Amino acid sequence: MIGQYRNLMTNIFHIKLNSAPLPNPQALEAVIRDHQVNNFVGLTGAFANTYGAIPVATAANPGDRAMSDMDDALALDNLKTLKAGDQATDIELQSADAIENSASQAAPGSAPFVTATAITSAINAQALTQKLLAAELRQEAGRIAHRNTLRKENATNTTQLRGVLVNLLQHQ
Amino acid sequence: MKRFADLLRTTKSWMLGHKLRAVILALVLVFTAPWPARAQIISPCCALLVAGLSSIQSALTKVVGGGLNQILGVDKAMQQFQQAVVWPQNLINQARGLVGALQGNYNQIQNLMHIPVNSATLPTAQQLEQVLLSRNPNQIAQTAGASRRSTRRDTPAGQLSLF
Repeated sequence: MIGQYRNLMTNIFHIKLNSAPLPNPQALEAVIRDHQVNNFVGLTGAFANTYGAIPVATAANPGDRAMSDMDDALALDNLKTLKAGDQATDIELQSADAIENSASQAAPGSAPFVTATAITSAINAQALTQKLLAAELRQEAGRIAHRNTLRKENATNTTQLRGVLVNLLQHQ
Repeated sequence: MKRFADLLRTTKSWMLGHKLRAVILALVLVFTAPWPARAQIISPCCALLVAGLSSIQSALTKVVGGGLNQILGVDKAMQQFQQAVVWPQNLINQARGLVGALQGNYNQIQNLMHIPVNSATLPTAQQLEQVLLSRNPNQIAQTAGASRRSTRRDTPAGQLSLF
């Protein structure tokens, strides 16, 4: 039964989901999905190649640059957290297999050891889930902040336009 | 005979002169004098004693000893069962090995969760990102300020006065 279930789950976990057809997105997608944490520099490069770099200081106003930088930073933070989470999930799955193997050979006296380990593993998995959830919340907060910034910009532009129009009418 | 009479006389005069010492001496002699022992052949006490002791020994050996041997057998069987089935040493060691190995795994996960992921490049964005990733609730108050700074639109004044 363990063999059947484990094989099915292993097959599901190893389904290839890569979908990008163009070179830059392909490179980014590959680095996002590689479950490694030692190539963050490559991730940043692939991200910049796909989504573009932050404009230089003379090409955009500081607010736009800061907001773009923050948006990119949140996206990259989450992608890095995602990669770390993928690797941590692999380790969790290895741990789960080890616990399952040990449970199949356990004696009544060794069962408490296996039970305690399984509970610890479950707590670790919950902490991992909460960390990824926190990253998602940060991303969502960044998205809301970005939209609100655009609304504020629209309000400011409207006020300025009204002032300009009033000024124009007064000159006539 | 005369010497004996003299000795008695001397003793009598000493006792009369030292009554307290004489009494103490008499008491010491009474308490330290050996008691008469019963003869083994004539007295039936020893035979009764032997019979009683034999009976007790027989009861201990056959009745109590048999029961104790059975208890010991059950005890040994229980101990063997516990060692072989409930607490087999090799499986206990295997479980302990599993715990140690998985502790290593959990340490790896903790290290992974503490890898720095900061990515912002501009100062204001770096400040906000640092606050967001600090895991420090004491920095909650700084979140709003850092957020305002990172999204502030410092449009040059010249661009606004188009007319």
